[in-house]
Parts: sequence; C-alpha cells; structure tokens
Amino acid sequence: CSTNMLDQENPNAITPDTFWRNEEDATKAIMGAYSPFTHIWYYSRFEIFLSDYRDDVVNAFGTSERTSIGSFNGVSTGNGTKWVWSAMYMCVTRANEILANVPDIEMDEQVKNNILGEAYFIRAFNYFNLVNNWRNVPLITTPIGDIESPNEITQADPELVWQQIIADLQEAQKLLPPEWSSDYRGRVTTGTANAMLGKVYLYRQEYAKAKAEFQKVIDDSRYNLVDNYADNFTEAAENNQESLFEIQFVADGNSAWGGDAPNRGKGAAFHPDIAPRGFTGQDGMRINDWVLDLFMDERTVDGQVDPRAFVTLFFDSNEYTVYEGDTLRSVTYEGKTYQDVFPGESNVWGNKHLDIQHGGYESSQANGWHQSGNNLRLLRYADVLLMYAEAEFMLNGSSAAALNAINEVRARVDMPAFTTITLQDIEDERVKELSLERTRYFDLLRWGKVKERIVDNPQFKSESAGTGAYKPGREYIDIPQSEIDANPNIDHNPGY
Amino acid sequence: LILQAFLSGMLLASETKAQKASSVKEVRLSLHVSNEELHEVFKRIEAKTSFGFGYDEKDQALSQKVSLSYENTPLADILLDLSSKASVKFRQVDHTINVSQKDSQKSEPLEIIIQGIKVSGRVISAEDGEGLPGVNVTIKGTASGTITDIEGAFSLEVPSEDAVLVFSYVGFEPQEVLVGDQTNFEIQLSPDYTSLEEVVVIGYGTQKESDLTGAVGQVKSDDIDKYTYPDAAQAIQGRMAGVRVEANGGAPGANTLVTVRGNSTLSDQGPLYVIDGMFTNSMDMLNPSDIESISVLKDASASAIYGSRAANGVVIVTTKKGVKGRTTIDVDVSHGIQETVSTLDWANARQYADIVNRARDNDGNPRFPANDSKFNPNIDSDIQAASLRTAPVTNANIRFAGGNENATFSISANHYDQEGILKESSFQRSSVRSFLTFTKNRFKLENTIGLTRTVNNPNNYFNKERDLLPTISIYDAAGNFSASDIPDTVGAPSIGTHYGVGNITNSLGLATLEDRTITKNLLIGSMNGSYEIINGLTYKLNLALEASAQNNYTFRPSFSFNGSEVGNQPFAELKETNTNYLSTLVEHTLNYNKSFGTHNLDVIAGYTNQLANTRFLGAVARRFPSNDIRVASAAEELSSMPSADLTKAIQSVFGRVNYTIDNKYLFTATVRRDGSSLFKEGLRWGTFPSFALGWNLSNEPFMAGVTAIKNLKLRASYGQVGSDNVPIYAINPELNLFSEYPIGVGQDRATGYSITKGVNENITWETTKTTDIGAEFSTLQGRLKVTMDYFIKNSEDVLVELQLPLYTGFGNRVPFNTASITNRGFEFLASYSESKGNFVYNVTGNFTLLDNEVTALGDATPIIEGQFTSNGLKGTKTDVGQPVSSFFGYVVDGIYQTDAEATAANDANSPQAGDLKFKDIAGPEGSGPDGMIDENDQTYLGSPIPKVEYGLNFSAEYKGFDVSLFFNGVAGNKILNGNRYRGYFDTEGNYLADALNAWTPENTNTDIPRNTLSDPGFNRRMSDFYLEDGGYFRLRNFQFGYTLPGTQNEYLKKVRVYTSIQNLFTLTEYTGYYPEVGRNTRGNRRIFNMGVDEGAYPTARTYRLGVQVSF
Repeated sequence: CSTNMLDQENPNAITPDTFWRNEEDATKAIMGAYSPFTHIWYYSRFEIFLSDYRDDVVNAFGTSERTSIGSFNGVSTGNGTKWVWSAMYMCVTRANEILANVPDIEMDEQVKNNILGEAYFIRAFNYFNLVNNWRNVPLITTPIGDIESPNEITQADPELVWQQIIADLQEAQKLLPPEWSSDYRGRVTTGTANAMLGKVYLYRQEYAKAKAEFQKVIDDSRYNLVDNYADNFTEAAENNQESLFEIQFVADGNSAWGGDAPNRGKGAAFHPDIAPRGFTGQDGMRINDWVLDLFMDERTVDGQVDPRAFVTLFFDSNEYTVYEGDTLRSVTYEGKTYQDVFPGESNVWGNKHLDIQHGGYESSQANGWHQSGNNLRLLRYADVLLMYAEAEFMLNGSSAAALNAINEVRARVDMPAFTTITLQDIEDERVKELSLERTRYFDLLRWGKVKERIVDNPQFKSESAGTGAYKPGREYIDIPQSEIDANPNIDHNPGY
Repeated sequence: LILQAFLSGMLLASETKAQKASSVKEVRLSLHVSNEELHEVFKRIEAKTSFGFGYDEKDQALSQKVSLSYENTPLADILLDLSSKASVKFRQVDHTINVSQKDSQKSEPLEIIIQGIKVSGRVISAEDGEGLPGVNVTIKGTASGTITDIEGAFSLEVPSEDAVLVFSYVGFEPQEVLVGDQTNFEIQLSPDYTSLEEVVVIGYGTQKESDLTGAVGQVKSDDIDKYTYPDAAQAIQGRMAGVRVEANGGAPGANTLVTVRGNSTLSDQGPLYVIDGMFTNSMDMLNPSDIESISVLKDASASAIYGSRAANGVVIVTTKKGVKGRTTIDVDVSHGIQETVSTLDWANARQYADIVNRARDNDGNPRFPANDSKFNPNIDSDIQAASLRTAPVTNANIRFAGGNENATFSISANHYDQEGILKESSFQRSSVRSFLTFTKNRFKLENTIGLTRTVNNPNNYFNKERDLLPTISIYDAAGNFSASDIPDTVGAPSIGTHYGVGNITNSLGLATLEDRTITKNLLIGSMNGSYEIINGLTYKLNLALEASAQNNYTFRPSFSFNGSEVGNQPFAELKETNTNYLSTLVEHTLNYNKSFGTHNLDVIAGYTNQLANTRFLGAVARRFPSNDIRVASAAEELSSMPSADLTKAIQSVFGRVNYTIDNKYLFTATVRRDGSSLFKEGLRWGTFPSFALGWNLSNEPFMAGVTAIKNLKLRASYGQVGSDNVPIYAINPELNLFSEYPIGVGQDRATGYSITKGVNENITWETTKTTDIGAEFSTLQGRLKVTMDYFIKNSEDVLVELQLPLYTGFGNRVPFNTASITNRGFEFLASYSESKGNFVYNVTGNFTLLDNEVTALGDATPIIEGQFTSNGLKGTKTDVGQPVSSFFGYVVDGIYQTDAEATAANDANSPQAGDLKFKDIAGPEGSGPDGMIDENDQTYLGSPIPKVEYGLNFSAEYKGFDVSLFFNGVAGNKILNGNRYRGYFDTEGNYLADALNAWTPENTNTDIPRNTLSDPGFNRRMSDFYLEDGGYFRLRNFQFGYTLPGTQNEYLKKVRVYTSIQNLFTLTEYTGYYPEVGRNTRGNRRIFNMGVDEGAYPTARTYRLGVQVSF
C-alpha cells in the first residue's frame, strides 16, 4: 500500500534547516535574540518584581506570589521568577545559536562581526542578571542540540559564570560597532559593552579594571549627560546621548500578553506596577518614606527641591523647582496634585518612567497593558559616572576624579558640588539618581547590605509580608522548581 | 414454577395432518374404466390416491364418457391420455388436480406445481403466556425463515415434513421442532438466563459468547435505557469490571473519563471509540438511548485487531437498528430538578475578619482596615450560596423503527436540556440518528448517520482563587455586580490597603456578564456494503466519516468590579475560534466463515486508512464600540488570529483467524500492522500480534455428568497493542517567526526568528503487552453467571512528554519513548437472575482490583505535576515504583507547640510555634532521619487511583411495577482537597470557617496551624495536610416505574411512568464537594492531575419524573 498519506508535511511553519543561509537570516536571528527583552515575562513587566520590588525603596502592597520574592519568600515554585528566568535563558540560547551558526554564513564581514558582538553582549548581559538573581545557574554556551548529554548539565560555579561574562563582553567590545545608523538605533554598541564590562568589574570589586572600562565610555565623545534629567524617562528623548543600553518599547496598539507570537504587546507594561494607587489596576506599591527624606535632606543651588525628586516620586508637597525652563511640581497623571488625589495622606508614590506628559494618559492602564512605548534605560551615562566615581573612590578615596564624576551628575540637576565624599554619599546619590531603574537591589547585594538595609527594616515591606521569612542565602531567589524537576543535577539555592 | 419454566419447552401439536404432496409423475396406479363419465373417473382416482380433483360441476365436458385400462402406470400418463380423449387439461397444485377445458390443441395438457407445506403458529413466553414478537423462526440448515409478528404469530412454508423449525429469541432458550405432520404450532419459549448476552460485538464482527477467547465487557440497551444519562459513557459506569468511568466533575456537558484496565500511558488519551464502524475519540455526541450495545475490548486478544489504537482499550458502540416485521414508535420524556449534594463551610464576614486579623497579629503586621477599624457589620456575602440554585433538566426521545424482509429502519430524535445547578451554566444536546439496512440476495447495505448539535455554556469561574471576600458586597447600591465597597472618591484607599488582598474579583459577576458558548455541530456516519461472493466468503467496504464544526465564543464586556488586575477590564474582549474537523475512513475487509464437520473457521483480513484534518481560525479582538456589539470585525484592535492546519493519517492491514473444534477448543490469532504519519519514516510502522486459547470444559464428555456448573470456559491470551499519543507534527522542528524587536528611530518591529520548539524525531509507537487469564461459568441452573479475569499489562516505550528545563530556551514539552508502566488487575463479574411468579429480579455485581505502577522512566526525570493553586504548588509525582501521579510531599506530624521545638526541627524554612510540624523521614541520598526538615523528607502520600472499584445493580419487576437500583463505589484512593489550601493558606480569598480553629497558645489541641499570611514556616507546602480518603459508596441511580395495565391494544402498546433519583446518597468521608473529582483542568496534562480537586463544580442530585409511551 502507498505510504504517501503518511508523509504529512507541517503546513504551519518553516523549518530551521532552511535557515542560517545569508545575512538576512543572521539579522533575523539577532532580532530574535533581543526579542525576549520585550516579553511580558522580562523587562516589559515581570523583571521589576525581581529587582525594584525587592529593594528598600519599594514597599509592595498585598501578599501575592509576586511580592513574596520581596519578602524573601521567593520559593522555587513561584511562577513569576520562573518566567523571568525562562526569558533570560531564551536570550542566552538564541545568542548561543547565533554564535554557533553565523560564523559559517557567507556574508558581509562587518555585519557578521557586529551581529556576533551583539550575541556576545546579550549572552553576557543575561548571565549577569542570572548570576545576580540566582547565583548558582547552569552555564550554557553552545546550542542545546549540540550538547551530547543535556541531562548532565549542572549549576556552574558562579565564578565561572562571571568569567564567561567578562570573556563575552571582551569579545563584544572587539566586534561591536561604535554606533548604528538611524535605521538600527537601539542595538548595542562598543560603548554598551565597555560600560557593562566596567559594571561587571565593579561588582567584582576589581576597581582598576572597572575604572579603565568606564574611562573608555567617558572618553567616548558620543556619550554625555542630557541636559534635562527627565529626558531619560520620556518617549520623546529615547536613545539619546546619555543612553548606553535601553530596552526598545513601542506602543503600537497591541496589548496582548506574551512573546514570540504575533501581535503581542511590546510596550512598557510595568508602568501599572509603579503608578500611584488609583492610576493602575495593579495596586502595586508605594515608596518608603526614607527615600523622600533623603531627597529632602539637601537642596539645589537655588535652595529648591532636587528636580529628581519630582521626576522620581509623587508626594505631598506644594513646593516647586524651576529646572531647565520648566517648573517642576509633584503631579501625577493629568497633572493632578497630591492634594487632588490623596487629601490628608502622606504616602509617597512612584512617578518615574510613567510617561505622563508624553502620552496624555489618564492612568497607567487607560489603554490597557503595553500602553506606553517609553523605552526602559538600563545603562546610562550618569550611572557610568557614578560607578566610575565609586571605583575611583575605592581605589583612591575622595579624589578629584571621583568628585568630578559625581559632581557632574549632581550639577545636571543643580545640586551643589561635593568637595569631599564618602561611600555613603555615592550610595545616596545612586538612590536619588537611579531609583526605580533596576539597580538598587543589585547594589545592596554587591555591597553586602541586603540584611542591613532590608531584612533588618521589616517596615520597608510592611504593606506585604514583612521580612520574617529571611534566612541566610535568601538574598538570592530559589532556583525554579521546573529546572529541579527536569534535571536531578539542579539543586535548590542555599537557604531554601 | 421455575422448574416448569425450564422444562416447558414442549410442543403442543394440533390435530391437522400434513403430508407432503407428491408429483403426479411419481404416483403409480392401476385403473380400469369402461365408458364412464369423466367425473366418475376422477372419483376413482381420488379413492386410490391422496389427490383430489377440482372442477366446475356444471362443466359439460365432465360428462364425456371415456374408457381406460392401465396397470401400475404413473398418474401423469393417465392424465395425459384423459386430456387427449376429453379435451381437458390438468394442473396439479400440491394435492389438488385442477381440471379445465383445453383452449387450444397446442397448449400443455398437464401442469404440475408442487408447493411446500404451509405451517403456522404462535410463539409465547413460557413465563407469562404472552406472545413473543420478533422471534426468529428458521428452517434448520437453510437461510430461509421468518420472524413472529406483534402477537407472536408466524407462518411459513417448509419443504417437507422432515424440516426442523428453529425458534430463537434473545434471552430465551432456543428450541427446535420437527415439522412432521403438523401445520399449526404453539411454541413456548423459556427464558435462558445463560444466554442474555448470547452475541457479543467484537472488533469487525460479532461472536457467540461461548466462542469468545478475549476479555470483552458488554452492556446492552436494556440496561442503558433504564436511566437517563447526560453522557453515553456514564452508561457503562460500574457495569463492567476493569473499566473505570469517572465524571469530570459535576458541570453540565463535562466530559466523562474512561480508563480501561488502568492508566497505561502518560497522556490524556482515552480509549478508541468505534461507533458503527467509525473510529473516533469520544462517544459524547451520542444520545444514550440510541445505543444498542457498548462493548469494551479489554485484553489484547480482543483489541489487537485495532492494533495501534488499542493500547487504552477499545469501546465499540452499535446503535439501534429497526427490526423486521414491527413498526414501532417509542416516546420517552422526562423532566427533573437538580440540587447540589453538598456545600462548603466558608467563613462569613466576621469569621473572615477574625481569621485575617489574627494572622496579621501573628505576623507582626498591622491589621487591614476592612477587617478591623473599618469592618462593616452590614456586609456578609456568601458568593457560594449566591451562585448555586436548583435547576431543571429535561430529556425527550422519540424513535421510529420497523422493517420488512429487505429493509429495516430506525430513526430517532433526542433533545437534552440541562441547566446547571451553578448559575450561568447550561448544556443542550439535540440529535437525530438514522440506521437503515437493505438486504437483497447476497448484497447487504447498512447506512447510519448521526447528527448532533451541542450548546455548552460553562461557568468556569465558580470557586476559583481570588474570588469575592465575604466582607465585600456582591452587588453595589445600584444592583450591579461589584467587588469592592470602597467609595469611588478621590483619595479612596486601594483594595490592597483596605482589604489587604490585591486581587479580588466577583465570580458570579464575571460569569453573568460574560458570554460563553461552545457550539458544536457534528455528523458521524458510515455506509457499508457487503457481498457474499461464495457461501461463507464476504467482501465488505466500509466508508465512514466524522465531520464537525465548532464555534468557541467568549465575549467579555468591559466591566469594573474594582481596581484590581482581576477585578476590572477597561475594554471588551472577544475570543472566538471556529474549528472544522473532518475524519474519513476507508476500510476493505474479506471474511470467510466455514464449518467443516465439527471444525469452524472464521477468518477476516482487511485494509484500512484514516485521514483526519483539523483546521481552525480564531480571533482575539479588543475594544468594541459598545458592549452590545460582539463580532470581531467591530473591534478596534485585532489582537491575534490563532490558526492551524493539522493532518494525521493512519494506514493499517489486519487479519484474524478464529478456529473452533467441536465447540470445545477455541483458538484466535490476530495481527495488525499500522503506519502513522506522526512518526518519521523507518519508525512509523508497528506490528501488533495477539494469540488466545479458549477451552469450553462443559462440552467435554467428562463434564457431562456435572450439572451444577454449566458453560465452564477457561481463556488465556497474550498480545501487543500500540499507541501513538503525540501531538501532530511533534517531530517537525519549527522556526518561530514572531520573535520581533522594535528597532531604529521609527521603532518598527523588526522581524526576528527563533527556535522555541524542542523536538525528538526518534519517537515511535508505545507498545502494551497484555496477558489475560479468564474463567467463566454459570451455576444454579444458569441463574448465576460468573466471569473472572486476571491480567498483567506491561506498557513499554511509553511516550513521556517532558518539559525540558527552561534553560534550554524551549517552552514546549518534548515526547520521549522512555517510560514503562505495569497494570495488574483482577476482575470479577457476577449476575444472578430469578423469577418467582410475577416477581422477576436480577442482581449484577462486579469489582476490580487494580495495581498500577510505573516501572521505568528511562532518561526522564520524575514528573512533578498536580498543581492545585496558581501559586505554583504541585501535588503529584510520577516515578519508578509508584502509581502514575502519586501524591508526593511532606508528612504532617502535628503542630509545633513551642518556638524552641520549631527551631530544633532545623527546617529549611522558619517555622515557629503553631506551624505545621513535618516529619523527618530521611537525609541526603537515602540516609535515615538527619535531624533536618528539607526536601529529602518528602515521600509518597498515596495514590489517586482506587485500589478497588465496584458496582452493584439490582432490578426487579412485579406485575406492572419495576424498580432499579444502581450502586457503585471506589476504595483505596486519596484525593487532594484543594479547598484545604484555599481554606487555610491562600492569602487572596476567603477561608473555611474552620480556619478559626487554628492553633493559638490558648487553643493548642487542633490540627489547624496558626493563622499567618507571611507563612515563614511554609505550612502551605505540599503535604498530607491536603489529602483525604477518596473512597465512597453511593446509590448512583434509583428508578421506580409502573406500566399501566390494559393499555396494550392495536394503537397503544405500552404506557409506563417512572421516577428516578440520581445520587440519592453518597457515603464518604471526603469534605470537598464530591468525591468523584475527575482530573483538575489546570495544566495541559490532566493525567497527572488525577484526584486533584479544586472544588470547581458541585455534583448534583437529580429527581426525575418521566413517561414512556410505545405505539
């Protein structure tokens, strides 16, 4: 009998063996490697529960699976962490495919190198996130299909992961272009790799190496602070001269959740998790009072409130600051003042990123999820200056170079220059400059201050479950149960 | 009287004599006449022979005078002579010779017509003397015969008085009668309790039960018609040993799970259904009262003829045909009301507030205002009570049936209409079915078509997590659904700060506002023609198809119950998918059936192929101009259009030999070879053989003296069957074309490709090897009939769909042929029937003992599933040495009474006094208790698979009254009661009132751990805290009927009124809604969610009244 009817071709998809043939394929592959950054499971939304929601700035409402990570209850069975882990490894595995396949494609050598450089960066960047969130993670650097015994994969020594990150970033430095044409703006550059490598060294307390990498960025004339601090958080000023790496978001009317599927939303869906109560369906969080207090501890050279306070927070104040030709006040969506919204209250709320002016939205979800196309800046020049200052401070104390760097950041927002600094000054400056930019928790972690700043201050988590669940080791999240279930070599993290 | 019934198969002969007519050519006589008138000559011949002459006495020709002289001469010659002499002609019809005038000299002067003997009579039941309609009356050794009419009367011609009439009727002992010299018979047939299932439907044919070598369970329409079932599969629940039937919760239209001889696969695949020759995946499109019989092929000997499809058992369904000679109209209408069997004791508002306040106090956190300073004593909502109701259910059937020698018909219509006991849920099924047969000489044609439309409106929201708190009103002041009583004013607190729960919805509101309809139009039918080429050799062509069109529609209007993620939707959303399914089957079979003396050979060989295609197109659309416009084209945003085109093909050749010697030794051999499009070339063909032996000991001479035990038969079989349970295109790698990234100044989405699907192209057939040993016998003069089977079923190369670690970047599950599963079981079925005068009763009981064990997983890691909350906790583990989907977790060993005790336990978490104390069972790598509570202390906590299942059916009739009771039960299984998670640990919903009984320093004598929201001791981890005994015994169905006397006449045959109660009582210790929990719908692979109950839909108790009328 004929076997023809048993040969059923899949009419729904094309197959990978027709891929990896030309430059166009390589380009599609690198876009595919960037893509998970915009998944709802990653920077589009859920990553914020692993970073800012865990720090001492954010006090999340309610006791839910998402806020449980912030209460040191990030147990292995939590879905939220699993999703972020999954998206990070999607970036890694796609980069691995590119690094394995693109070298064999006959194509323009420059384009090829750039793409390989991006793949190295994407892999390094995600391992940086993985090792800082979970510490004991599998280190995979080849396509899964090329691994002889995938069952024997184990969690790598974190040191090996760090070494891989450094090696990958060094490759990326060599291969990436210094800039992209306007059609490709948003892809990573040599400067991105330099800044990231400096950050990696700083985390590893290799201050000289860190300083050297930051110096490359400082010496690169492409990078400078933008005049207006607020431009780092508006859609109008995306991919500006201060930006070294930002997640490209677009609000094109699609609001469906997910990734790797047609018409998924690719907007900044984390805004509802930051927006003040009443302007979000998420009932997400408030800001701990100490942050506002920190801002209020000093004044601008004109005796006004730090402009960054108005950009970062929504709080009960009638004060205003004249900055860059604007009069800044504490307002939220539709220009409402605190007393309009929360008469008689004193809670501090989030304001950064919210794209209030640009979109003219009445709330963070008026148009549904993904309503904002405002890019998320993950590495910007001000951060580089502060990290440079920190590296320099650790090497040489309150040196002129350190002072210059931190003062450049302060001068931009009319804050008086320091004449001498302590490490605490750098830490505080980072809070004021970078709160809600996904760096505070990692900073506390690398400084070894998670216990001091968070565990020992359960009031910072008073709106959810406090910090009673903390155990040594729980600075890191537990490994997702899916990995433990699927591979007997994978183990829980210490403390779980 | 019983004795009389058994012995009274006697014959009551009439006085009439019968003798077969002979030909005038054969009868010789001597005749000498001289010049006598013709009619005088006729009288002389009449005197000498048995012939009589027929003529018109006024005929002048008869007065002619003739002379004859013959000696021992054939009468024919004499008549010829007379013809020429007297110008008459003769026509012999049987014993009569008709005489008429010759019209022309040329015409034939003598015509001989010999006819058979006309016999007639009536067949009555020996029990009540009533005429038996539809009895087969055949002439032994021939194919000719007739059937009795409505009064039991028959008439037919037999070729000679040596003919033997065979009277046979299902359920009665057949009787053979020599015609002899009688022409009128009154036959009494006695009920034959041993032959109630005399013919069993098997694969590609039927077989006498005594010839069966395989394990086959069968239920016939007599039993099915007794009750009203929502789903045909429920008609076999508890009636067959070895067949587990479980309703998937209590929702109207919920499907029924059928598991034959234990889980032998790690997929959700159920048995293969063969409905009137068409292969399909379910029988839920059938109107139960259309079913003539349901056979379940349990062992490999019976099922191997279906080869690849048979690993999970085969269910063969035949629907009702018309019967020759009777035209009947049967109407059955019933109406009932349903109510919930049980409810859960959720906390009221005050209790809820107290529980949460105590938890916040315990956690050292401030109380939430809604439960404390702002507690509103005027609000006390009970969303459970508000969601339940008593609801009607109606069923109506009508069937027309009849036929003649060449054609029969059966046409039926059904409408089933059930409102759910949960508001906003309902199910309707309308079906029409026809079964036509045509017979002409050696041709036979059968045609069956079933049309079914189902409309299902499920309520998926009831009793789900994050439902309304009792401290929140169900309706706002305006009467609209709400999930917050916080006034909508500037500066109002959020629900998270006020109630302490960030996500609250209103399940009843959601269910009410949302439109959900699943509409399915389905056609299943077959047409088969057969031709008997030579005697015993028949070719058959079967063409069958199943076609369905399904519309799955959900429209969720914009709503705002509160500001939380699940409490509002700022814009309307439509999800709609249309799915077209077409499956076609072509099947050629050649059957040869021949007896050689005492040897009987039955051989069948065939070729078949089946092609099934599913194509669907859907739309997810958002933002509508109004909540009243509910079509995708009106939406502002077309979010996605899920679509796919899936084709699967199977080709097979098969053959079977049944060979019996002397009705004593039975031999069956079967082989089927299947090719599946789901596997790659080289791995796609599987061969599935089976062999079976049977020995009818009762037919051996040495058993002749044994009268206590009759029909003793021993059976043994071994065989292999297969399964190809993988998703279509599982072996085809795919590129994902939608990994986009917005890039460049314009931030247009750049096309990105990625590999998101892992594949294993080296997958092939699962193989299940079954050994079965069976015995059956009857005793107590055939009143008690027993069947027993022991089986071992080893499933190898079982496909495991593994979720690869997420670090692979793949999101899908990938199948591997690495597992093995063994099922061992013992099945027992006994049936007892007796009649005492007008009192007739029958008791049937069965039980099954089953032992399921995973014997290998190969490279696969243990499968952890059984999620019972959206917060990630899972309850089951499937690993070597344990039943599939065993419960796995910690063992609760009381409650820590002091902080010191809690600290000393060295738990990886941070328990304190009042938290659950878990048992220290083991240390790392299998070492003993190590003084630490960690993951090594998890263990197997029980199985969701019952060790014993049993069913008991009792039915009795007395005069016009009839009563039926059907009990069933299970024992030896556990249920994971998800309500205990929801009720004691979940932080985002109501608690069980019993959570008030939690441990406190003052209340230490309790099983309930202290109230806490932060749960630092991780009380909520999977443990036997959630597990309860899943055994139950229930009166599943009770029915009482009365047939009105005196209604039997020409127009109205029968009027019966009946009442029934479903689930009258259920004895169980289970505290959830109902112990028949099915499989949780959370997650894709429901087999690993067996026995996991989140309490989604309560089971109903139903009271019915009905009337049956036959015309």
